[in-house]
Amino acid sequence: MPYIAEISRGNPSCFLFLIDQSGSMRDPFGADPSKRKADGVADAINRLLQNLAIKCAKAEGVRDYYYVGVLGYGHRSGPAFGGALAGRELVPISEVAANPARVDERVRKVEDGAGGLVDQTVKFPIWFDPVANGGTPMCQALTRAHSIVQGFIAQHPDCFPPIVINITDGEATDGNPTAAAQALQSLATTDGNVLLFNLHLSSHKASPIEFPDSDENLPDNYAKLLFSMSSKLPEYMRGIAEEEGFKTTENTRGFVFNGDLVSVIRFLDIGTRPANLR
Amino acid sequence: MRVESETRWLPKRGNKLSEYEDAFYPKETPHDRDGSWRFAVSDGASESMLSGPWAEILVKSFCRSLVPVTKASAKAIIGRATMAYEAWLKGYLRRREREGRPVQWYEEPGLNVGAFATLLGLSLVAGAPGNGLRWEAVCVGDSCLFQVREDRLITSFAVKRSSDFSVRPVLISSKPAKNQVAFSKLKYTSGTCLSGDRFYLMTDAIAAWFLREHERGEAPWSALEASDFEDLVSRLRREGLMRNDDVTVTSIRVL
Repeated sequence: MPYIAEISRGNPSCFLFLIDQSGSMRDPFGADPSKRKADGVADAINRLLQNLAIKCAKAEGVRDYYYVGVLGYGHRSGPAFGGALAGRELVPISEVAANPARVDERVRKVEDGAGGLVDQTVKFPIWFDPVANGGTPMCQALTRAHSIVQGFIAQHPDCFPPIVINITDGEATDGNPTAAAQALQSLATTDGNVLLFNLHLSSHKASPIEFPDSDENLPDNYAKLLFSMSSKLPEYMRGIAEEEGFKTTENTRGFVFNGDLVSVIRFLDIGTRPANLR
Repeated sequence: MRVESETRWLPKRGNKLSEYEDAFYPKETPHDRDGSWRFAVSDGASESMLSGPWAEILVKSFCRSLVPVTKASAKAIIGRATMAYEAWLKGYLRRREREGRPVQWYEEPGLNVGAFATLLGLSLVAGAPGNGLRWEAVCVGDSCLFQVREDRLITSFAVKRSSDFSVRPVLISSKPAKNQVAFSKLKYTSGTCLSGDRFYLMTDAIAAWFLREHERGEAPWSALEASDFEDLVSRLRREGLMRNDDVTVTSIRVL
């Protein structure tokens, strides 16, 4: 049964994010027309990195259960981290956690334990600001991802399969990305094939769709294409997804339309997680 | 009657000894307190912050209590443990500040939701018929108590079948407001024991192996008694017969 390898510091896994930074990302974001799609991308990648670091955090620091890369594609394509991480393809999660571009503070309401609400200041790390410029060379990004993931697998042949998350409006300008996506998904460790998940941020105002098992209700051909390129959720992830309240079938795919993909981080198993944690 | 005990433990393979997040108490065979003895193990959740210190506070709080074991007294013990943890946490955070290692953004959410751990507590009290001992146990989570008499498993508490283990058990939180569900899952049981009986308190990874072996008709207590603990655990992990996790076994012999 694949997708059961332990994720540990001795046998880490890998997350590679592909973020669409093309000119079309200047268009309004369907889920919140006051924002641009580029804002949606920046928000999604920052929250994914934040949640991944928190998941790996213990009191003595962040444990390197994952190596993390971010490839931007648009006017410029390639490794997208800035500052101390600039130019690096894969970085241990502890270094990602230690090197956000800045840490913003946001105020949110939390329960005070006596039936009321109080303001609590929450730190929100920012690695990426919105970028929207140039074409959408998605095929090129997937091919580059292939080479990076292949390199990681050569070093960690028995690891939990790397997960590639592509955040885009789906409007590739360098051809149909299907073949490049399939090539990426054909890479495998002894524990299973590489997983490719897609977060589609569209100008379309249709309601969010998270982890569908068919393309029937998807609003346009870009969404249908990205759905077809997305890996099915492995059985163990479906189990956790079900516990999180998602309805799944064996055809459920790692695809989200204008919604929240951060829940994927909760689908990862790095140890006992209390049922009453939240 | 006399009671002897020994606890054997190991951290998850690949982790340092200092990263062990189970806890047990007492650390050595306890003196009886007017004909009564207490033992506890706790399993701190790997996906929560500071769960090791929280587990340590829980086992000590249970074993140091003098109140008879009931569901109500267990809840009161847990309530006091949350206060002890809050006091400990304040000191810990002050020490971090003093050492120039203030809490980082990635630690804050974990500290806000609190630490999580199981608790399994066993009390042995003199005075049962036939010169035996009466025992009482409480449990939240998936740590297990087994009672073995004359090479037969006669009690399995609180998990009865190996298939009942989950990676997401309900655990005790260091935040009192999050303990309503845990209290609703608090389990109590009691019984008597005779001279020669053995009790085992275990955290989940080895308890799951123990139950699976028993379901296959084996006597896993014999393997536990006969083997070098480190060799046994290494072999079970290597052969995929036990999940790689912190492991704790307290063995108690009633003489």
